[in-house]
Parts: sequence; structure tokens; C-alpha cells
Amino acid sequence: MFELFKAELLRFRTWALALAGVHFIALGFLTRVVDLAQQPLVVHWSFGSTYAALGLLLGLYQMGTYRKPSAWLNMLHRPLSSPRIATSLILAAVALLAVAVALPIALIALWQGAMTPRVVDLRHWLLALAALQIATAGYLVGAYGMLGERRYCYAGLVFPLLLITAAATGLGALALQALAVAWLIAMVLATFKPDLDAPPRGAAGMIAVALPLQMAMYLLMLLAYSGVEMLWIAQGSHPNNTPTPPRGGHNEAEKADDRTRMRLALAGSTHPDAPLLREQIALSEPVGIASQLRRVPRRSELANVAPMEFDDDARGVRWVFSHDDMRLHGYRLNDRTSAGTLGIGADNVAFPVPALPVGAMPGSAKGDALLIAGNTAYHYDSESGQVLPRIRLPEDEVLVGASPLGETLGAISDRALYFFDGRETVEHQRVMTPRLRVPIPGSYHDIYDLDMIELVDGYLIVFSNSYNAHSAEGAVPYQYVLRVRDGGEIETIAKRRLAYDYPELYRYRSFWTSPALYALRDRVQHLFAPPLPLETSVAAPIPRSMWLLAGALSLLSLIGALWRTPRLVMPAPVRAAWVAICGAIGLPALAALWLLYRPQEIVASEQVSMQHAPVV
Amino acid sequence: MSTHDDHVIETHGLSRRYGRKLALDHLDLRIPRGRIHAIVGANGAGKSTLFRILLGFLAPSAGRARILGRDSQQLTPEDRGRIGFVNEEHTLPGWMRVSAIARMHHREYARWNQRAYEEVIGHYHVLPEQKVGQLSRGERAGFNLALALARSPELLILDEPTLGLDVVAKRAFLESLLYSNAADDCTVIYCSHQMEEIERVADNLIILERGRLMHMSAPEEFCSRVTHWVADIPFKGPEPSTVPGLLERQRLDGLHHYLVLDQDEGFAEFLRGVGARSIQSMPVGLDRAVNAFLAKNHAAPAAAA
Amino acid sequence: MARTQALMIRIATGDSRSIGKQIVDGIRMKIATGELAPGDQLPSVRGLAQQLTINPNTVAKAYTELTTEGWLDSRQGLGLYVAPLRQRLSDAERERRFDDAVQRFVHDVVPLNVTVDEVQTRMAAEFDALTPRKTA
Repeated sequence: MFELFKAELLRFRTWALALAGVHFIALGFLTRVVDLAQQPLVVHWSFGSTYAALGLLLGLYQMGTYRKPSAWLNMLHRPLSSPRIATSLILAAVALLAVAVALPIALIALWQGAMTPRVVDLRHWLLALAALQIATAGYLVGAYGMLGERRYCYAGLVFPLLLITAAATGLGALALQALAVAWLIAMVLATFKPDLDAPPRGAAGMIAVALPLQMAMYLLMLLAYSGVEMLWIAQGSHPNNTPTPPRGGHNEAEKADDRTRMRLALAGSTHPDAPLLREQIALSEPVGIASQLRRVPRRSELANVAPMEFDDDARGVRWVFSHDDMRLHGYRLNDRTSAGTLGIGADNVAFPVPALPVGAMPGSAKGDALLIAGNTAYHYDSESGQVLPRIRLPEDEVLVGASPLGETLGAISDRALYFFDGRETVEHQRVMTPRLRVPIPGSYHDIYDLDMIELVDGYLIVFSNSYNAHSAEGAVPYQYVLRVRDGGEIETIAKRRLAYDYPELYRYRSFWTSPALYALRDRVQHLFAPPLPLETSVAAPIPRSMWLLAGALSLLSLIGALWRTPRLVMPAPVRAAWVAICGAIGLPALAALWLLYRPQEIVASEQVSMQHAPVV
Repeated sequence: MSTHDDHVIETHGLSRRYGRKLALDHLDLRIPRGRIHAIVGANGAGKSTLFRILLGFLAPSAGRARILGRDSQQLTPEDRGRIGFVNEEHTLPGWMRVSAIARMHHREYARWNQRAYEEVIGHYHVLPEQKVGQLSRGERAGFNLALALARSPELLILDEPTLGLDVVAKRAFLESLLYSNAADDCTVIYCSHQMEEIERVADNLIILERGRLMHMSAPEEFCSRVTHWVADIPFKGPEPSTVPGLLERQRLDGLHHYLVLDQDEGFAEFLRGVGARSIQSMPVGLDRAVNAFLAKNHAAPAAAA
Repeated sequence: MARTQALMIRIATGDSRSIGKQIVDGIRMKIATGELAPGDQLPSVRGLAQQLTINPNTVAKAYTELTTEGWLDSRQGLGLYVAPLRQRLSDAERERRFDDAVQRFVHDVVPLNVTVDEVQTRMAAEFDALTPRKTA
């Protein structure tokens, strides 16, 4: 087994070293120009895709050369069991990818940490491991693609898709990648056997292949629906593309300008002040509160939501946040010498959660910056060189953004709106007390638009919560009109239910296709990840009709399995299991069954006359 | 495994279907242990399919196959160590050196016979430090054979191993196979189209045609079944379908030549019956006999012993 | 101890006679013409097979046939030797075979309209050309 491993390493040795060299030079060039440790998510995705593609090419090529009948025979006809042969080849590929992909990253990280004042956290070192796992996953997808039956060799692709759309970060992301790699290895091992045409080896092997295949079928069906949607759009009656949106629906509210939207929210309201407020809306200029945070940065995440650095132009220092010691590390831009570390306040206390620089408070001096960390907004004062908390929200809230509203400073968290006295931002350096707190009706995640106008004695705030109203994940869409007075009283003027523009069949298509896979997909995408505060929401209850439809399709799938399985070669318990699975999972399972098993080729027993030949 | 089965290869009603075509058609084959068995058949006779099934690389559509007493679909790594297979492509990792591959096999195979390897490889100009990719086809074939024999297999299957080799390489290959000590305890199955080789090498001749076993016996016995008759028939001559045991017929210089199977003096009667004036017969060489047999797509069963 | 005598026979593939038969005929002819004398040692099975590039089993079968018919003697542990001249066939059998050969010859020759003198001269010349020594 070791001999085979060595031989395979030898085969690609030159390629691996050459690619390692090219990779190292490319990274080396880039690292002179930018800080590779502080790149936005999209850059990480580009690199990740390249590594996965590299792995894919290796898998396709390596297994492609061995798949030819005489080469396959030569490889497998030896006194070594096929799982061990496969393991040798896979380990060799992983070693090659480690050299070509992970090693250059580690070396550059080493150089950056040792030779520059830039921040290199453990999470950056772990990028080398993540790159290797992603490349390995790509390799295994290619290997399986080459070895598996033509009809379903693409089933491995669900794993890269999972890795792209998963919520896990940091160690959780590494664990998810490892899980994907392990499952893909199981798929390859189940397929790596002398008779490549036979179905996957063993019950575990069959499950390893069947489950991703069913998910792939599910995703393909969703893709097919998008195709149908294209036809719908072409036909002209798609709610998003009609000349005027359907009345009373969420599209109407989303597409309207802010004044119209606010007026729509008051439509049909019987509140005595409604006509007055409508006039006010017509006269005033609606404003909103900026939300600077798209996603909450997590401690030790591998990639960055946004670069965690900002420049103090007055002092000429760049401050970079380090996840390892949860402080800012600075270095002078002109001579690249270190400018020390910075924590909160005079004692330089470490930040409790990662602090993301989000620009500067308007009206602040040159060089100042605003940092958001969890429930607190910090102000970096260039003159004193200190970071001081200015806004502190309740413990479990997440500050999403802050922006001025005239004299007032508005801030928004995942739970409420806050209004601060704008003068406090310049009068002192302490934590400001909010004058008003307005709890958000529904969830933050549901908010599509937030419009407000200033009244004589407060604010009129309109929440248009229709995010995801076109899909199964969305909450019930409402518009809320709240009037907030300076004294702190909050009154709900109106609560307008928005109509669904899309039919149930369209909105719940991910659900009724297979409730089981719908739930599984959600579970797996959130595996190893804590709940994300900006993305929690209470979905509208699934209508009974959709459950009935899903049930009917499951029944159809079960009948299909009952009809199909007698013509296939399988023992009775396996047949029962497949029928049950088709009933439980629905049409994607039936499609997988169709692809996995071919009907038995019948050989008619012919009249065998005098077939026996003389034996010498 | 010390028990010696009677047969190294056994198939019972073995069939394999590709779409509408039957590559193997209820094949019942029993090859005894020992000696050199030659399998001949036209392209498409099912030889490659048979070997792939016997080695477990393909599943039968019907029937069973056993090799060295084991079910061909359940071969263990130990079983594979006892069966050697060499085909015309002589697939070897082109990037490795000869010595490295020999060392690898030495470690992999428990019964590696270093002397046998050196004996066979000595016939070829193969240097240990050469990379396999640099060897000529003949050298690669010789190297492959050296590896195959040095593994001391109980059964060695060779599927057209001398295809594409020049005369010198071919001769060296046959000599290594026939006279190396390593092949002494080994049952050899030799597949070829070249009757010249078969005639030199075979103890037992097996003829496959369209997935069926047509004949199995020593080569001389097969030859004795085929006779060449020359008759002078004044008119057009009998319809081919009426000629008993007809394999091939030609009309040369006005004379009728017939190659027929399993016909005795009775055939002379038949020829006289259709008006032949002079009749002569003679035996036929193996090459001619087999070619005529295969060309006819003869579906007659083999004669009982 | 006799050394192995060189055996100068050739075989041809594609011939209507099997290789084994060609070997048997070839050795018989060599013995009959005296090129192989009684007591000469024949090459080993392996050696002859390698000389002709054929399967050793074929040579073994040919040797066995010749030994059975009495042309060769197998001496335990030493090899195969040409058997001493002796009557291999019974008188009756010898007579019968001679008769057959003569009949065949006469039948073939008569239509050619040759004279008895021509036949006799020719026969004598052929036998002389075959070998200086007379055979059994």
C-alpha cells in the first residue's frame, strides 16, 4: 500500500512542485500589494473556487487515466484489497494538494507574520487547512465523477454547493469541510471496485451515494422550477414583471417610493389621526437609518465579513483587529513599524467580541473611526488614541448600524430602534443614553424597508416587513405604522397585512417537492453554526394545502417505487427500504432509485444442445 | 490453498448480454489444471468478456463462473495473487523505473521468485534504471512477462500478448514463456489470433465462436476433423446448403475445392452423387482448418469424445 | 558415454501434418537413412523444444510415440537413445505394408506408360541417393 502511495506521488511530483511554485509566487506578489489576511468574503470565495477546481482536475485526470478497462484491470488485479488501493491513491492526491495548495499559504502566512507588522491570527493559519480540505473535496468530486456510473456521477457536486452556502464559520466551517470530505471518501470507496458497473458496495455505500443523489435530484427539480419561472416571466403575468404590481401586495410596497409606501401603510386605517398623518407624509422628507453590518463577524472566522482594519489618517497608522487577542494592532504606514496594540479605554481592555470598523461618525475629526462590536459602538479618537464605547445596547442585542437624523443620532439593532441626542456625540466621551427605544415589530430579518418622518413631537415610523414574502422562509408580510412621541410613548397607528403576490404553489415549491429534504437542507446548511442574530425570523406557518400536496406526491412516489422495484435486482429488505424511503422523501427519492438501479438484463434460457466439448 | 481442484476455470451457462447482443451465450467451459491451453476465436467471439468476468471486472447476465475454485465475483486479494493476467497493452506505470516496479512487485507478492524474474528479463535489453515509458513495445512486453512469471501464479492468462511485437521480440516472448522454469507449475491460458504461435504453443485448443464453445481438444484432433476435397464437377456444382459439413468452398481453374468438417469417405459418395468425375482429398493444416471453421460461423456442436 | 547427437530436423507450421507428426517422421527418416546411428543420444525434450521453438509437451509426446514403436530406447536417468536395429514389425505386418506401398506405386506409375526397365533403374538410383548404407 505504501509502495502504491509512493508511486502515485512520484507520478505527479513535478506538477505539484511546479504548481506550488506558481502559487507561492502569485501569493507573494499579491501580499506585497494587499494584506491577504484582510480580504472580503468574495476574495476568499475566488481562491476557494480555484483550489476546488484544481482538486477537481486532479481527480478527473488521475481516475480518468485509471478508468480505462486495461488500466483498471492492472490497478485492481493485485493482492491488495480495493479499499486499500483507493486509500493509497487518495492519500497521494491529498499529499500532492497539501504541497501545491496548503504549503504556499502557510509559507506566506509565516513570512507575513515574521517579516511584516501585519496581523496574522490562528484563523489565518487555518486558512491553509481550509484550502486543503476544499481542494480535497474538489478532488473527491472529480474522482467520484470519473468512477461513478454516468447516470449519477455528478451526485458529489452537492458538497461544494453546501460548502458555499453553509453558515458555519471558523472551526465550525473546518468541521463541516471535514464532514464533506469524509462523506465523499465514503462515496469513492463504495464505488472503487473491480466491477465499476455494479451498484455501490454494501448498505453503507449505497446510503453514501443515494442520499447526495436524492439531494441532487431535489436541487435539480428546484432548478427546473426556475426554468418554468423564466417561461412565466416571458409570458408576462409574473408578479414581479407586470407593468403595475398587484394591488395591496408586497411587490407594490417594495417598488413604491418612500412617501407612497408610507401612505400605503396607512391605507384603510380608521385611526382618527390618519388623515393628518397622511398630510404630514406628503409634506415631509422620509429618512431611514443606515445599517452598516450585513453579517455579524464571528470570533476566529476564517474569512472576513469585511476587512477588519481602518486607517487613522491623522497619525498615519493602520489599525487591524486581531481575533487572537481581541485587540487592535497598529502599524505606521510610512515605515511599517509597529504602533502597539489598542483595547478599550485607558486600560486597553480586550474587546469581548470582534470589532468591525464601519467608517466614521459624521462630524467627527479626521482620523476618527467608528467600530461596532456586538451590542456596543466604539469611537476611536485619533487625538487621544483611545477607543471608547459610546453606544451600549442591552446584552443580547446586536448593533447593526448608526447614522444621523438631523440633530438626532439614530441607531438600529436586531431588536429595536434607538434615538440619541446628537449633541452628546460631541459633548462628552461617555456612553450615551438613548432618549427613545422603539422595539421592532416582528424580526429584523423581515424588514424590507424602514421609512420614517420627523413629527413635531416625535417620529412616524413605517416598517415594511415583506422580506422573503415570495418564498417559504418568509414571515407573514405586514406593514406597521408606529408613532413615537418624545416622551417615550409608542402607539401603533396601523397594522396592514400585505397580500401575497405569488401563489402558494410557487412560494412553497422547495417545501412540497420534499419536506424531508427541505428540512435536511436547512439543517445541514446550519450545521456547526450558532443561530445568526440577523437572520432569525419566524416563518409563516405552512398551509395545510401544501402539506396535502407534499403527501400526495409522496404517495405517488411510493406507488412508483412499488411499480419499479420488482423489475430490479435487489433482495426483499432492500426493496422494502427503498419503497419506504420513496414514501418518506418523495419524488427526488424515486428519481434517485430510477438512476441507481437498471432493470435486469434478461437472458432467455435457450435450448442448450450438445454444448459439452471433449475434455483432453 | 493446497487443495487442487480439477479445473482452473469453470463456467456454467455463463451469459453476458450487451443490449440485444449476447457476447457470451450459455457458455459451459471447463479447463483442467496444468498445460498450456490456447483459446482462439474471431473478434467478438467473447474472449475479452470472458476474461473480464472471470477476473471479477464484469458481472454475468446469467450463469456462474469459477476460477481456481473461487466464485469469480468474490475474488479476495489472496486469490488475485495467484492469478496472473497479461494483455496486449502491457499496461505499466510509464513514469516509474524498471527496478522500482520490480521492487514494488517483490514486496506485494508473497511468492515472488527473483531468479525467475532475472532469467526472463535477461532475454531483453532492459536496464534497471530505465523508465518504463522509454521502453520499446517488445521490451515492455518482455518486462511484463518477467513480472508475471516471477509472481509464480497458479494460473496465467495471456490475452494476445504478442500483438504488435516484431519478430525478434515475439520469439523472445514465446521462448521465455515456454522454457522458463517459472512456468512449470503454472496453468497457462493463451489467447491469440496467430495460428502459427498457437500451433507451437498449445497443448489444448479451445475454439470460441459467438460466445459459445465450439471445440476443445488437442490441436491434432481438431485438424483431423477437417478435410480438403478437390473434385472435377462438369456442371455448376451442388448448392452450398446441400453440401454436408461445408466450411469453405472455392472454384479454381474449373475445379471445385471443398473444406468440410467431420466428413469421411461418405463425402466422396456425395460428390459422386452430384456428378463429380475425379475426387481427391487431403488433410489440412491447423491454420487453414481453424480459419475455415471460424469463417463459416458454424453453429454445429462439437463432436463428442 | 555417448554425447548428444545433433538432430537436424525442421518443422513447419501451417503444414497439413501436425508438428508432433513432423517430428516423429523426421526422426524416423534420420534413423532410417542412418544419419542417426543406434546408440546415439537424442537431445532432451526441453532442448529439442527450444531448438524448434515449440511446446516441450509436443516433443515429449513425439518421443513417447517413437519409444513405443521401438525406434528409441529410454535409459533411466540418462536420456533417450536410438534403439539398436531390430525387427520392429512382424513379418506379416512388414509384408502387408510392403505390399500396400508397391500396389500404390504400381497404380500411380502404370498410367504413365513407363517401361519396367525405366522403373527399375529409377528405383535403384533413388535408393542409392538416399544413403550409402542399407536400412532395415
